Amino acid sequence: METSERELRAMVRAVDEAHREGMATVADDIAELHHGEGSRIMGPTRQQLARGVGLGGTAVALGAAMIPLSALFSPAYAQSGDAGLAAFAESVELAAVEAYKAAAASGKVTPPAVLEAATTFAGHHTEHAAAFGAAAGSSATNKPNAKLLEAVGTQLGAAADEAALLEIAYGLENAAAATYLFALGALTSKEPLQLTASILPVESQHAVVLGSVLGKPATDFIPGFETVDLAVDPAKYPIS
Amino acid sequence: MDFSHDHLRREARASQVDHEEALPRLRQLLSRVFERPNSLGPDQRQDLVLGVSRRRALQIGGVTILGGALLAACGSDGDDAGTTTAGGDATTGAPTTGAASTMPPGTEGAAGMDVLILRTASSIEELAVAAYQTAIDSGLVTTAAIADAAMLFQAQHREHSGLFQSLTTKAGGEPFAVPNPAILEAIQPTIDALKDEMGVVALACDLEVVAAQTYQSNVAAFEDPALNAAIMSVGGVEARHAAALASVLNQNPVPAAFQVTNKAVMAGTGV
Repeated sequence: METSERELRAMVRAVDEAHREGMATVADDIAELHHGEGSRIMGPTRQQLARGVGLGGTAVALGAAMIPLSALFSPAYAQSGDAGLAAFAESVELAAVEAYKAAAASGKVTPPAVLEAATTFAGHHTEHAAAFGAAAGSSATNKPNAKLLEAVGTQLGAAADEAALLEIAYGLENAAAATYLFALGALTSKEPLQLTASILPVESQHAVVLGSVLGKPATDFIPGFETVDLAVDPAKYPIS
Repeated sequence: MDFSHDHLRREARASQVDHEEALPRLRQLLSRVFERPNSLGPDQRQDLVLGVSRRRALQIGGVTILGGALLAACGSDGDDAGTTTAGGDATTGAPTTGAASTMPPGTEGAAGMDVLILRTASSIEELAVAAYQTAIDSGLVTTAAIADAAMLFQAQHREHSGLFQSLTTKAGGEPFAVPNPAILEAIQPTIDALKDEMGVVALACDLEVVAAQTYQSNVAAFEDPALNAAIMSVGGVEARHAAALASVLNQNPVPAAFQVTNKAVMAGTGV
């Protein structure tokens, strides 16, 4: 049987409509695809597992290199107690909020879903800051950590594209999780301990989302244990 | 020019197949992170623990304490509303109802609560190891990436169990090195009913959420404050596991600004 040109045009029109409907978001979807979504969310490959792929060193250095836990017990912060630690955590959260705002405003993050994630995470950090601020009481500053913001801001300004911005956010989330693990070893009162324990997992989950969007192998964003290796040093990033 | 109808049908069909396969997955990639609601309503989701409704958990013989412990943890985060802590038969580890008549070894004294928490934690990790092995052996996991994740997470849970067992010994207790029998009994019907890959992933996700919330609930309950960071060095990872699995299920991987503890297992359950 043969098809007339009129019938063919009708079929092509139908296909074209279906194509346009499906392609409405393909620019965003392909951008995400390049960062290794879908089947890569659960990476690594079997070959990588067999080679024992460990935790990737993809964290962003915030100013000076990260220092071990033993050096984090700055005498000043040991004396400031739980209130001082909570105030420090508040400042870290507010710096994260500003970092996400800057990333969203840069114009380099374009997929709507990624922008929505950034907005949501900024909202979470805002709530975290409020909770830490309440725990800090009169020690709260209600200000982002200036030195941390300066360090991150420099990196954000130098970020060439969306992936670079997301890498900074990824580093921040892992740094926050590490900082709160450190805090759990230093805090003494029940309420701030429980508050910190309710926030650490959320920062970790933020890191999972960002790590998967960036196409990192799972062993990068799902390590065997949380550590304090990437913790933000209160001595090097004091609250103002 | 005219075209063979059969030829057009074949070409259009092939094109449509390619189109339908590729584009929906692409569209879902990021939007599923935040826009896809759970398939269950919030109340239904709240009532399901490890695939077992609260009502059913109460009706399961030996896990009456489990159900009671879960109810105590549900509804108000971090609420210490009292239920009796399950003691365990020292030989079988089976939970007993009512107040414990035989406490596990090393759970007396000031370090007793620490040992109880750590034994419960290692029992949960062993349960996770066994659950992932069941998943791997079931033949239901056919996606390579999900199978890889199952093996990775299982290996990490082994490490977690090792940590908790060594900490138990250090605290003067006897390590609990088998899957938590109370929780296993509670979820066995769910395991037996598994019929597809997404069911396996959902059960794994539930287990990870329970583990994450349980360890969070243990913070500030230790006699030894150093154990707060130790348990959350694991709790954070369980939360990461849960987020990854939630994404596979088209659920929100970061459902709230603060993690809650309404699905936490009370210390001593099953151990």
